[in-house]
Amino acid sequence: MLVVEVANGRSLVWGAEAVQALRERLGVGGRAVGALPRGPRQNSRLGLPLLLMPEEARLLAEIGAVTLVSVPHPDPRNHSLALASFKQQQEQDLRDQSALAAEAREARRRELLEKITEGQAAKKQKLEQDPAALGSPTAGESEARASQPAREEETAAGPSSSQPGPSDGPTSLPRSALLVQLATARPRPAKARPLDWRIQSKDWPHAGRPAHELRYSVYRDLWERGFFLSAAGKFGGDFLVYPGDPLRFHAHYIAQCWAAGDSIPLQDLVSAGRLGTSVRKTLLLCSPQPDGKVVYTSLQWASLQ
Amino acid sequence: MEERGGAEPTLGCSGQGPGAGRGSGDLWALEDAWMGSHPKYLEMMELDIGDITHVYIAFLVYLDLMESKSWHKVNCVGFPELQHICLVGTEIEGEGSQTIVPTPISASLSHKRIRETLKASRKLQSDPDLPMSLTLAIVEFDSTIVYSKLTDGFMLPDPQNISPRR
Repeated sequence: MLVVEVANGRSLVWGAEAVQALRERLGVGGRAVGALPRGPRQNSRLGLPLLLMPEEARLLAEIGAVTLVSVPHPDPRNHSLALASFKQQQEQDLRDQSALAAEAREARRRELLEKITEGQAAKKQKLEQDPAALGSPTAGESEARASQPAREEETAAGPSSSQPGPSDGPTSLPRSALLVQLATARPRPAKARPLDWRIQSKDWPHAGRPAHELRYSVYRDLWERGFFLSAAGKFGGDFLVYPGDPLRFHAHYIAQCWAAGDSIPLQDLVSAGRLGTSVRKTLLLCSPQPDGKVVYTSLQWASLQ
Repeated sequence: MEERGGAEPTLGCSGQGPGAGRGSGDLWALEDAWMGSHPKYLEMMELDIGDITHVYIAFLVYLDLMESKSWHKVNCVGFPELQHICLVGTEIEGEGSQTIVPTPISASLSHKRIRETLKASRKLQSDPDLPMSLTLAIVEFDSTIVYSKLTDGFMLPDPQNISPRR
């Protein structure tokens, strides 16, 4: 069961797998509202958490796909305690990682031990042979050339041969090399109260509100017809209605929810209709009927020539 | 703007005398105004539906369709149960007819009322297999007219208008 955390009427999904499941299996897209860890000061590409419209959250709860829970409110008096525990955890991480780093270095040294001793032996041998080479008749110039690389080797081998000594002692990992895990889900389980969307509460103020009930009836009907919906604030409607995933399709309709008996000022109808047509969408008037069905009327600006 | 075509009858009438052409319905009943003696205007009056303002705006829409949009034929039909005068017209000879519902901009329509009008206009529809549809002609007080097409159910946006994906 997926979990949706609700606080002050806003429903958030924090798990990446949950977001994927909602989008791919349930046709509920929501809207990513979180900053990316590597780009916290931009707002063109956003990440977790996912914010759901109240209608989306309620639908998912109604069909039993998610559990709505009230976000546990941390006590502000415990803030310094939480901070201390975080710092303590980080110190512990540093100690653990230092130990692991030292262990890794030791293992690497042991792995290379054979080569090091081989190298040291070869050098020793060369030094022993050197006096013999000195005595050979052809040795005039080549002696100088041969001895030079040998000396270079010596200086190169010098530190490596002396390294096993200091590495035996405790080495500390620099703080800047500390690996920090960024949690994409709540790292420790926290107790959360389940939330009942049928009852109005501080975290769920939508229950029983006429506007919410109206929008919900329309949202659910369109969703059941297989449409993919998102908020339509930028076109002055209630929902944008897509034939599939919004990443693949343009919206076809701008849905406006009206109670059947509410009068719609014609000026509003004209402006919404013309705006819709100019952005290549149809304005959809949606009204739930007493029998539970929803009726739809399409409105398009007619440019009679 | 194309909808300005509706302004023509007003201009045509303003030559009839001072004060005419302000758009208030009762001025058109003046005997010296040609509009008041137009056969179509008289026909609409005889339907005895709605007040004189209603007849006036229906007549403005009729003139716009006939004179500015050059429609082939436009008839007027009364809907006593809705207190509405509708126009049924054919844009081009031989094509199916369309229902036009003239409405003043000051009016407010509920979605319920829109559905009732759609259902009533079904009787006038040339092809009963097509979804119920009508065109709302919304008339501004300066006689500007804007047309909006209403269709029952889901009507995809005009396909030729869908731009290729960038």
